[in-house]
Amino acid sequence: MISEIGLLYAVGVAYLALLFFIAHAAEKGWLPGRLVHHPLVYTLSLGVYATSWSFYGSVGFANTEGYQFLTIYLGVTLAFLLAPLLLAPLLRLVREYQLTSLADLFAFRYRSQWTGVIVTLFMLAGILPYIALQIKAVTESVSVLTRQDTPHLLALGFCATLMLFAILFGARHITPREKHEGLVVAIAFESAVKLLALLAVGGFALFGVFGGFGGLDAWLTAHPEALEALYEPVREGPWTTLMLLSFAAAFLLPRQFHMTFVENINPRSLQTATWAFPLFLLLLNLPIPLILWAGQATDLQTSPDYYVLGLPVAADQGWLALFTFIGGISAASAMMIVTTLALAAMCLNHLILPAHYRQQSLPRNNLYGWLLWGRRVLILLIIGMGYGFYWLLEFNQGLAQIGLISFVAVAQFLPGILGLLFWPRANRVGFIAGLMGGILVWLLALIIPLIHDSGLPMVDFNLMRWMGAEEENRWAFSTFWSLTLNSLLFVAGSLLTRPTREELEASQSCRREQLTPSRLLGDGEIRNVEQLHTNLSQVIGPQTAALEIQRALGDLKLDSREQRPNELRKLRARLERNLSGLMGPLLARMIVDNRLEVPPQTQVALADSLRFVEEQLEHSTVRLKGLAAELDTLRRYHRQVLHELPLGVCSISSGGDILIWNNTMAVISGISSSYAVGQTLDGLKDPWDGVLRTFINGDDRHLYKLQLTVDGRQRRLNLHKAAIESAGLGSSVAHGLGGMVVLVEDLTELHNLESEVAHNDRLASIGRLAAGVAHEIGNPLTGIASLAQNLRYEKDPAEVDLTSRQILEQTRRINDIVQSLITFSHSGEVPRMRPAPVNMRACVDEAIHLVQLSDSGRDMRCLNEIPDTLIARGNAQRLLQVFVNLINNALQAGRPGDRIVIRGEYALGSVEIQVEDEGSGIPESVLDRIFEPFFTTKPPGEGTGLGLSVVYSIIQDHGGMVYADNLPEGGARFHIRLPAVEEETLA
Amino acid sequence: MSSQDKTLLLFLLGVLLFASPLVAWWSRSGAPWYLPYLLWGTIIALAWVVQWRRGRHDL
Repeated sequence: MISEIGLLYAVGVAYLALLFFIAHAAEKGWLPGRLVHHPLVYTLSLGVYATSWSFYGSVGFANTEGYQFLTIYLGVTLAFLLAPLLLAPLLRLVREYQLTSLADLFAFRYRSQWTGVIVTLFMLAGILPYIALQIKAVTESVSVLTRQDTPHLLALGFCATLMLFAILFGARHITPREKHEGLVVAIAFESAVKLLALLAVGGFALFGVFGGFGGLDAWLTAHPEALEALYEPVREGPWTTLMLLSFAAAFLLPRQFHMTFVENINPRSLQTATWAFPLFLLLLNLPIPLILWAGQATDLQTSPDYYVLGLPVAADQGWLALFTFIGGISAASAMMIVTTLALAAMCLNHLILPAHYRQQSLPRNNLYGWLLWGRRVLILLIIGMGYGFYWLLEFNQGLAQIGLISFVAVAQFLPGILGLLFWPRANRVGFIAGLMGGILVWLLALIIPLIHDSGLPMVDFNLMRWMGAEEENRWAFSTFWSLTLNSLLFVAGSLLTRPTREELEASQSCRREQLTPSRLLGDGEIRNVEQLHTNLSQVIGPQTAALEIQRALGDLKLDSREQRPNELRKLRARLERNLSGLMGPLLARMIVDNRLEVPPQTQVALADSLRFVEEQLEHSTVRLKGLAAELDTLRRYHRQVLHELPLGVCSISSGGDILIWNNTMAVISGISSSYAVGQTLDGLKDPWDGVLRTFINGDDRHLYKLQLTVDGRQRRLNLHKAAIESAGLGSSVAHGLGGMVVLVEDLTELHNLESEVAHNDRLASIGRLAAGVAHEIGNPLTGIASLAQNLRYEKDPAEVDLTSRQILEQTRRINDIVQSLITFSHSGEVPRMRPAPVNMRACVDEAIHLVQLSDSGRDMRCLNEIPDTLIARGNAQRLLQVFVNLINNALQAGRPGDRIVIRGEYALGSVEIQVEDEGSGIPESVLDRIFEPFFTTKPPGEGTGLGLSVVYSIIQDHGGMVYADNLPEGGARFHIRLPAVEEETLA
Repeated sequence: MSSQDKTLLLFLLGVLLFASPLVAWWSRSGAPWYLPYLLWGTIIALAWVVQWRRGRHDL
């Protein structure tokens, strides 16, 4: 027998001090991270579900309701079996949108300040009796141990210690992103303690009282009524109702919501909890019938609610009694601490902060400190109110009865949560109406009778009596009618009114079907981070604004110089989520909306939409089935094709955002895809911003051989563009799509190859000319030598003058030949074409002259019929090579002495030149291949196949065209079209 | 069968055992005292198997 209240108080305080130490050790990192983050620790922390009601009250509940006490845990088991479909989506929402309580969740989905206020007030009203119940259980357990009345002071001391613990370990961080690891570990430890204590008492009942399984069987055989008393209520009582209540309580009770979702450190732990938490509950309940029967067998004088404690006390098992007492404190304290934290977060976000925001009295300095202290004061108030409830009400009902009142209260959130997860049409009107209906029935059926029976002045009204249903089970009655009215009003309200745009948006987020990102910054709004800071500072103060922006920038890995519209949009959305963690989703939305305004007509940026859809699809792979999965595979295939295409592809929305920037484009431009996508053209580095804008805005659909210097390297590019018709896209996502697709061909390598080809061709031509050149230079040289020799003996000044002029004439001939050669050999080395007027007749003359220097050209009959007035725009040296190549080609095609005629005229603003020969013509089958590099009809070793390809390349460079056909009378004809310079222009 | 289908089937089995007229059958007179725990334990074991097979990437 333990008779000293002081000793018990000391044990209680010592145990709570141990909890302080464990929580502190976890916070400080003294405990290994693997242990703290282990899924079993998370599972044990969910054991906060088992309160004094479970620890003490289950035996009493079993005594009156038989095995129905199991429903309180079987319902939870069913809820956790459904974790992947029911709890995982809620966990994702809570983590993603940084929600801190059930009220936050409902306010996020049903988008109304009233939603948060009603949920918070109702939760407070529903849970306060439950907190009072814990205090009652602890004080009564002391009474059982000491067999004397417990002074109120003890209850007050217990509450004060819990306040201190909750403040120190539950309100350390203001943002939900920083988990209270210490709290989680401490609550898990408490669960382990209460489980071990119950198992120990159960073990004592089995082996100490019955002497083992044999003894138990013998006792049960001797007392069949004891077993029947457990089974009978199952067949007759409100079994299914209680299952439904505990199913809802499993995740809707504030403490369960807090530990399952808000304090969840690792989402994967929920997988383990699907089986481990029900197992914990099974082990916790296994000893209950044994303890009940042991109490009955030993004829315990204590109330069955306290058999757990009374059994070791009666058997004079002091240590076991003390351990059980500690188990009871564990159960009560864990519930009170976590419930208080959850309720404090609700009150702060939905009662205190909105009021201050409306009055514009939020502190400008140190908002974090204000919030933290606000939460601490609320913790004091809530535990204080729980104590007041305990003090005021004379509970003359069992522990389980009071607990069930809270269960019926939280079950009222079930329709709302189902609507949140599965019904897009559900809206705030339906939710609030349903909840109010449920609350009304709850008050009339359960609370008013409770207060009346507790001896407080209250009208003697009982809904069951009023409805003539006194014979019915009150839990079945109150649950059925409250949930029925709630659901009917919820459905009717939602069907009779339309959800707002914000609600639809939130419902998409809740069901993970959102295909357009929400809440984006419009064009013409925030332009840089500095502006964001200034606007935000007006509400939450410069210091907090700076910290929040810094945090959001860090989350998105951006820096404070960020100016890209897409990134600023994301920053704004991130800020909203982070502020939601601080102040609740509605206030965060209000602050962001009011201070970082979005004009109503602003459309969601298309680039964001596309990226968002892609991200959504990436995340939902496992959920796509059938046709959707096939379409997704097709989408991935097309995307891959687009990205791997050896052509640069970029698509630009009508708003100027870049939507696609494939791998080749990234290589050509030196701008990575991740950077470019989402940018406007202005955001691209030089020269791409200007080039793309000019090309897109220009009339030409193609731009050939554009020379660009990219990262110090010369590139030659062909650009092509096409408009994307939004009409052909169809889907709602594609609304406002359209824009432009630009293809970029990189010709740099090809151009280098062509230059090399042209150079080789020139060298070959020079080689062919060498003999003729030697001959041509030889003749005047011989003449010069003879004239110089005569000059030595010539005395007549007139003759000397004549001879010297003849020498000069011969020298000029040599010089002409040399100049022609030099011109020809340099013709490919002009780095940039500078178009100038070129006299075509003179150009062709020079080409004929050059060709005539070669052996084969000596007997050539070449007629230049081009008028002297025909002037083209181009590069004379390069055009010279064109004609040299064409005349050489004609020579090689014909026989010696054949005639080559070159004609020219102005036609349609261009210069048209034809080169005709009398050769065998070009076979029709190869007509369209003759301009390909290395294509030749000559036997191997006789032709390089380069001449005509060089012609083609040069004419293309001039923006002209060249083609060939055959003359009816035989022979081939090459047509060249070049940009003309009109005579008037020249004049 | 996908893991979600298994989860749903398991849930329905749980409903069948614990929230249907089948309750009256297993709670009939003469049932051993541990029968509810046995049924409960079976459901937990099946949940463990489903979770073990689901792998680590589904939640």
